[in-house]
Amino acid sequence: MNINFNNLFNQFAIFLSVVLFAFILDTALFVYLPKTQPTFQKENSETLDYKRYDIIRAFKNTTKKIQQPKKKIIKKQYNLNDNIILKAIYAKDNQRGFIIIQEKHKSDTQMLGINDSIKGYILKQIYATYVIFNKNNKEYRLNLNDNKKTKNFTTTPVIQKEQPKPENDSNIVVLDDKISVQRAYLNSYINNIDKIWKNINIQEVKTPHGIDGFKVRYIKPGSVFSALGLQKGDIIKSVNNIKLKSYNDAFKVYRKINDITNINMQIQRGNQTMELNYEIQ
Amino acid sequence: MKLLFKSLLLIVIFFYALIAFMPKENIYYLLQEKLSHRRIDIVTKTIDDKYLKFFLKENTIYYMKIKAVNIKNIDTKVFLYDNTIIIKNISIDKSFKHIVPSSIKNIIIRYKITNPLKITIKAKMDSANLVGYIDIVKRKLILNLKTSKTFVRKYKNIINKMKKTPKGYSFEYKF
Repeated sequence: MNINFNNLFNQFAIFLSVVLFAFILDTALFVYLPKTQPTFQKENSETLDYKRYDIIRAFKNTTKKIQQPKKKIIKKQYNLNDNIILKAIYAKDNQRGFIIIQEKHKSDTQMLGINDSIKGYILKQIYATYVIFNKNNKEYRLNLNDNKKTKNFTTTPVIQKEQPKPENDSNIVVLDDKISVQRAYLNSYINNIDKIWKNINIQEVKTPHGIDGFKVRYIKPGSVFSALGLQKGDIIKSVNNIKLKSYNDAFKVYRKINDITNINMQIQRGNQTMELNYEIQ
Repeated sequence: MKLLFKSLLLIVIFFYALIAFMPKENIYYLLQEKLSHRRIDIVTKTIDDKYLKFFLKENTIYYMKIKAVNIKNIDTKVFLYDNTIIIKNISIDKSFKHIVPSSIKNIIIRYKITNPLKITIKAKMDSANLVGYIDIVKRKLILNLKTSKTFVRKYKNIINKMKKTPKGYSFEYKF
């Protein structure tokens, strides 16, 4: 039998070149594709890239265990059922805002900001309808009280387009160094917390040692807060000698407001420290 | 004739070589990356890349970091004449139990060269079977659901979006 090896080799070369062309195309595609799972930090990408197209590997079936990226590890969440009720959420995003909670069988409510704790549970994240606490390296989820409908998760303060109406002058009287506020007028704000957030937006000032006051980010022109002398950019440091080191400190002031007749507010405006005094009549 | 046969053979070999050497694992990473931009994270324990087959084992899908779906196996087989994706043992989080069945035994998505304009879909649930296809030319998804009364009562949200037919329920979607 006469075999034409030359012709056979030519035929084989054609098929081989087709396979090689496919291989080159795939290699070119590989260059543009991510080499690892998202967020996975590879230390030595060149070595791994080379191994991916190792000729031995190309002709060998491999089963590879993928190392899970650290960020992908999602902790199991437990429901927080420790007699704590989530009453309200006020948040700008997951890491900024505060919540109002109430312990069952207690009438007092409490305000918590990020990293504040209650019964050893540390508040870590705030979502639209629930919050995440951390205790002993476990994540606990606390849902908003079902009876309360949430309208409080706002990304920006509600700004009315209508012309700002000046507040009734008789409610706020400015004397030399003191501002007098009518109790009934103040109560209209105290009893309606949503009304407060429509007129003012504050944000905690974070320092390495924790919260150091609250910065006024927005004030509705013509609102009670602007009449009280507050300005955008002011940092409220303390109220009636209660230093505002947490959201709960701010809430303490809010709860005591019915019992006090004088308010002394220490604020920082630019580089100046100022005091604002109010008399409640 | 000889030339035609040779050309066809070359195309087939090229196709198989292209699939065999394709960086499927990396294409999957790209898909994961794209989905994570939409706050969908897929965590896969094992990726098994075998020439014309691609297996994903022990998959968990998270939406907004909340565990939503567990899928035991996703098997992809790409042959020239028959291409299938078999998704086995899907368990959906209890939070969605009123919307979708919490357990789907399998979903088979198949594309055959003998029927080049259609991609068939079959799904097997506890008390329902879903059969349908995607019409590539008309850009239409058609699903037919054969189900029990219990399923109809339990998943009114799904049934309400479907049309009643003599054989069960049907759903149509144009894309």
